[in-house]
Amino acid sequence: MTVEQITESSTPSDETASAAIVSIGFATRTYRFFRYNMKITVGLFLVLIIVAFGYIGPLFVDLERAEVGSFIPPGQPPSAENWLGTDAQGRDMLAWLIEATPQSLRVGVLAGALGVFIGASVGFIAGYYGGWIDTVLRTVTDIAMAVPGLLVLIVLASMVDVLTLEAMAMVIAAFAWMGAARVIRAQVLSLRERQYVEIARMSGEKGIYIVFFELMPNLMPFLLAAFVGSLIGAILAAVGLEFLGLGATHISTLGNILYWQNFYNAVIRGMWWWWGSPIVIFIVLFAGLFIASIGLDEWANPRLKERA
Amino acid sequence: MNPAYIARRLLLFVLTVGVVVTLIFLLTRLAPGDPIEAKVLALEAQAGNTGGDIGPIVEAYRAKFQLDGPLHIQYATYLKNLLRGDLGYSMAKYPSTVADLISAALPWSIGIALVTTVIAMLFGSLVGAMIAWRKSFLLVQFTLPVLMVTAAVPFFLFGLALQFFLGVHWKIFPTAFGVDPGFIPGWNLETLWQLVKHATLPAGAVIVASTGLWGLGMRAMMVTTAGEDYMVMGDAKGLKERRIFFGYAVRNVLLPQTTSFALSLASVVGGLLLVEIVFNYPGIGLLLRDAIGGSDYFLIQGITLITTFAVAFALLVMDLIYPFIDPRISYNRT
Repeated sequence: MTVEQITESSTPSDETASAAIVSIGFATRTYRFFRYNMKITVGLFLVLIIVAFGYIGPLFVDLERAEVGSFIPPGQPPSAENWLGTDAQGRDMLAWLIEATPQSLRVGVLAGALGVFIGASVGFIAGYYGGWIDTVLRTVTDIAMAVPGLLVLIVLASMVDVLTLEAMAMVIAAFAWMGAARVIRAQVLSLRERQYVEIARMSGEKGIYIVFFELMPNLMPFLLAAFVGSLIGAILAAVGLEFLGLGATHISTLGNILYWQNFYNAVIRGMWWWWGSPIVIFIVLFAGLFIASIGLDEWANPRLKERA
Repeated sequence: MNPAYIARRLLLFVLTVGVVVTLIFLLTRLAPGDPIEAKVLALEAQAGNTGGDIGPIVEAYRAKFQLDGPLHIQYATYLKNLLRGDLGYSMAKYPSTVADLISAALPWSIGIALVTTVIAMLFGSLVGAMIAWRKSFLLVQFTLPVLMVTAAVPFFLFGLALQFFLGVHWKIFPTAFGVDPGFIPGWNLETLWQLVKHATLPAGAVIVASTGLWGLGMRAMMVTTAGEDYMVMGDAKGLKERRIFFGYAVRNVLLPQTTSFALSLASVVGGLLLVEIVFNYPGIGLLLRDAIGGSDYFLIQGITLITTFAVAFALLVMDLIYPFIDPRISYNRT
């Protein structure tokens, strides 16, 4: 997607504004939104399955079974007692996955939100003020984009013994903001020349007011799309780190499970349930997030939708 | 080409490398915990020697690895060594230098990276273009969800699945190493066969995943050409379908597509490193895992620096040759 495409796009608020004139109920509007944005609906549904698995799961499964030495025979394939089998140390895979999924989601959401916040701020400032500020911030963004973030994370994570989940999220956010910055900057560049912004400026509104009340509402879809993008990047980075045995190693996360299966050579030993079940979770989660992000992009920028 | 553009691009390259070099210097010097002390303590414990005074040993090691003295002097020495291509010694495999270890591993990684990029680019772009092409068979349209999944899932997860099905279950390809253990490579066909056989699975994982990335990017670009005047013109002239597809649509979007890939190059490299670990493939990724396992900080730093340099250099070269291959772009404005 090029900058030109984004800047020329009409903003979705036009549609919502016209929809509000025809007074229809909130439920109908919500239904229509999801009906016409199938990609968002499907993506959200897939993500919700994973969220439900992690947060409702503990109500049905005893998480004690995820501990090492819970007297469950190790290395069992899936059976009636252990639905997803057990690992080489007798941890029940189902319980372990239920314990790990919310942790991985938390890192992603924290880092993604922080990343969008940084990125949106950089994009706002660069786009709104322009001039040398823009040049500097754009150069910084270009540099950050060319740096393999995972490697710098690895250096950092290897220097400290154990990172907390929150610290890890913060560090990851430092490398998950560039996409948001680019998109928001391009948007602000086009929006600030619009007439209503001009009018607000001429009527003597302060810069901050214009940013929050005139620009922000128009940027919401872009911010959401950028958030999902950062979320995907953050979870990927976290899984990469954990797979290397770095980061929050004392907490069960999905990446952690993958580290241990690699450590115990689960693939070679034919313990397919050990690596297979986290992969299914990842595929559903990432596919959901990715489809939702494409849907959000199209909602934010209707020109991207395929012309029939 | 405009000299100001070249100057700006070179500056960006120098800045990128400079930022990473400085960042890594600061991270390793200012982080809590002392790698040297930890290493010496571990060695002492290994020798069954506890409670002794390790102060002098630590000091000696610090001097040896140039970690003593004030920060700015350390920084100057560090930069001077880097400019000479001296990345220091490996702490875990002491007499070998970081540069030696990396140059032994680099060819493996670069080989895989080049082959997979070319294959995934050609294949992914073709599939993506065909999905966007309304007149292609219906079957092609159904591959879109598949591409979305492959583009979204981390590379190494495909590695695990491929390793299990093709390596362990059906035993078609070897599951690990660059060549069979004990095999001595030479300039012969047997070596080539060994290399291809062992590279198939790791390369396959990267290709599957990055085909999705290329395909989706290409599709998004192709969709924008649908209403262009030159497409209508091609149609009106009564040109063959194939000619319009390749000569009018694909040709126009292939180059912007390259730029978007350049932007994701850094993350593709990161993914490749993890795939190598899954397959015990003797490249940079495996070296990195061993370095982390052995707390070999200098090796970790060296790998990070070399990889960043390689990625930044690739981006620089791409940007500089871009105006030559795309006649629509002349960088007269910087």
